[in-house]
Amino acid sequence: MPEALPPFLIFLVGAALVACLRGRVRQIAALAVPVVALFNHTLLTPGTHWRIELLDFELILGRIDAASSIFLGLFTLLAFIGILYVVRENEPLDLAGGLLYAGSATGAVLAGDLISLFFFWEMLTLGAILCLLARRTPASGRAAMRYLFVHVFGGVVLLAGLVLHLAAGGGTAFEKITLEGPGPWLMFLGFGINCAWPVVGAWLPDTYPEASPGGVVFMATFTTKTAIYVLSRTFPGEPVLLWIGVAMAVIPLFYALIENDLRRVLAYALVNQVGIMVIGIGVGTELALNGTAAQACVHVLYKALLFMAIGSVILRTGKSRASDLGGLCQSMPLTCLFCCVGSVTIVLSGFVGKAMIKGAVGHEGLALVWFALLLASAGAFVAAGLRVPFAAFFRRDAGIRCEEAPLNQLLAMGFTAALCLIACLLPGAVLYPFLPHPGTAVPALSLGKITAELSLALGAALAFTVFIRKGLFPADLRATHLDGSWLYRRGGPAFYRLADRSLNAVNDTASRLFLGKIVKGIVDFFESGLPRLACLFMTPLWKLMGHDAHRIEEERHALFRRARIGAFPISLTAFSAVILLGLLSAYYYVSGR
Amino acid sequence: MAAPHSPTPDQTAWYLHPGLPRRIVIGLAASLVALVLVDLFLAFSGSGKTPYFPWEKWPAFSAIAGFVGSALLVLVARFCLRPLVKREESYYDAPSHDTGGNPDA
Repeated sequence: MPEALPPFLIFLVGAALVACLRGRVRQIAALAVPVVALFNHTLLTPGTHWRIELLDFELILGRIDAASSIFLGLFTLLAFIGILYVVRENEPLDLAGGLLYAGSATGAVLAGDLISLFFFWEMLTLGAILCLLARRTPASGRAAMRYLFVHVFGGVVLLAGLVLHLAAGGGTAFEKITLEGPGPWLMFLGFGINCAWPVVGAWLPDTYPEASPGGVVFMATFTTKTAIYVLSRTFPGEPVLLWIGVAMAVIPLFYALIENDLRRVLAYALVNQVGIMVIGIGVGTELALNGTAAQACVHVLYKALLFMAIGSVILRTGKSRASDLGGLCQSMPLTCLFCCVGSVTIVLSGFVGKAMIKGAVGHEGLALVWFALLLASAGAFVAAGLRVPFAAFFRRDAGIRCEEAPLNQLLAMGFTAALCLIACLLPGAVLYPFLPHPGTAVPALSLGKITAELSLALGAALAFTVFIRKGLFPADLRATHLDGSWLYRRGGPAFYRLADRSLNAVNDTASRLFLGKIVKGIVDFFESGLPRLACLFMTPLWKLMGHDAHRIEEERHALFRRARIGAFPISLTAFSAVILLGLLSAYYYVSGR
Repeated sequence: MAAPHSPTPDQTAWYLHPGLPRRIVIGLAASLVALVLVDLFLAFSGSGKTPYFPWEKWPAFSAIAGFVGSALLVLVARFCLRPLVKREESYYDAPSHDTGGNPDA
């Protein structure tokens, strides 16, 4: 049996290869890379592999256990789905960017120490930037810059935390870290920025809708879910995560309900579902962490499916705003069907990962968090599950007649839809054996739980239908809705202007004061101060010598001129020297030396 | 890229049938009633779920929570959040041409 290669190496070499190739060969190579990675995945054995000595540190590039394996398998599978979805366009930024992204995510998941984790963590940003640039519009270019700005900031925060953690003797072990001291807190925040926490995570709904139709599939999969994996390994059971998760699970829903761009709606709903996972990490019990991993798997699948469906709509119509779309079920029936499967999976996920997180929250007696989960589940179904397919494929005939999605996209969507249904309907066979804590019993799915989940979804659907009928649902307006991204989109330039005005004002004042006054004074003193002093000293002497006022004035002018250029007659220099010697003699005499 | 537009949108499509929304509401309401009945049966037969919180035992709790929760989200989003955060679409535009995520803008 051949030995397994490091999965990230396959993706990274593949990305480099794909970047160098052209035409059909590039398409074949891009598809082959995740297929090879999937085959390689079957060869991986639990344990610690691929150790490297770097300076005084030992880097572990392959820690394979239950917790990392499930995310590794998920990422490898999604890399295949994403590449299959984008392969037809043969856009090198999408293909190489997607593979680079997958390589970075698998590298981060396999990392067994914090230093190699940091290395792959930062590489994730590069993959995302390529997926944004692949859209090749001015707006996507600017979004890529904003993405870079936020993630460089996040990287600096994480690096500062890591350095402080190491300096405090925390070690490089990528294991549970106690949230005490500045180092762990900064690392916690650094992870949180990638996890799209409230305010600091505004980059996600800001930039995802600007990515290429296929690139966003990689983006929706890798960055936040890597952060979820890392947080579940380093900070499980931190109570503050419960409330961060609650804010993430609820607040973005309000935006998802009023936002016009359907990919932005999905992005807000993505944050909402990641919030549910963060709650699971906050509870931190084995059941909750199992629920988090299961929820991550199902969520990645149905979110990718929904993003792919809207991506196909963009490919065929060039539109993604709810206000421009409608009635596409006639032109794109299969895409519509797959989108609806994605929506149904939102409900079905309530029987899998969400049920486990909800059970863990209930077991801990966290009533408020439990209610937030209820609201988050119902709201996500309305915002992403009902509104997105309704706005794009039904509602009205917007007069758009277009082709069905291309075959490769239909295959990618069909495959993902099948996986969604299998994961939710047969979790005991395909999901539960691979959870981070396989020994922990999964709560049995009783008829009562099934009716409760279905009632919740149907109640939400009834509210949606009634509100649409009565015209109470927020209208699809072409508008911008301010959120946390305002801080850097408006705050960034404002900060620049503030810094420009305040610091440059200080600079100007200092320049005027120092160069204009002090330095000028010193220059003046050395230029004309000493000649003036000499004149002052000589005037009484000239008076004693009986010169009249006119003569004294002439002498003063002559002395001043000579003193300024340092050109004295020898007699005057000798006279000054005699005076100086006399003064020195007097000084020595008086001081008794 | 740009899709061809038919000059007259088709008003006879099945999903635009005037009676459809009413039928959907009736269908959803009937399904909910059926689920609540199952819930009630489970509650009385004692074979229902083992709840963590007392309100989970209340019949139709989930259905009402789903409806009220969603209604609350929609109303707050429309009447509280949107007036606060809504700006013109070109709010963030630099001097020229940000399309707000849409190449067709």
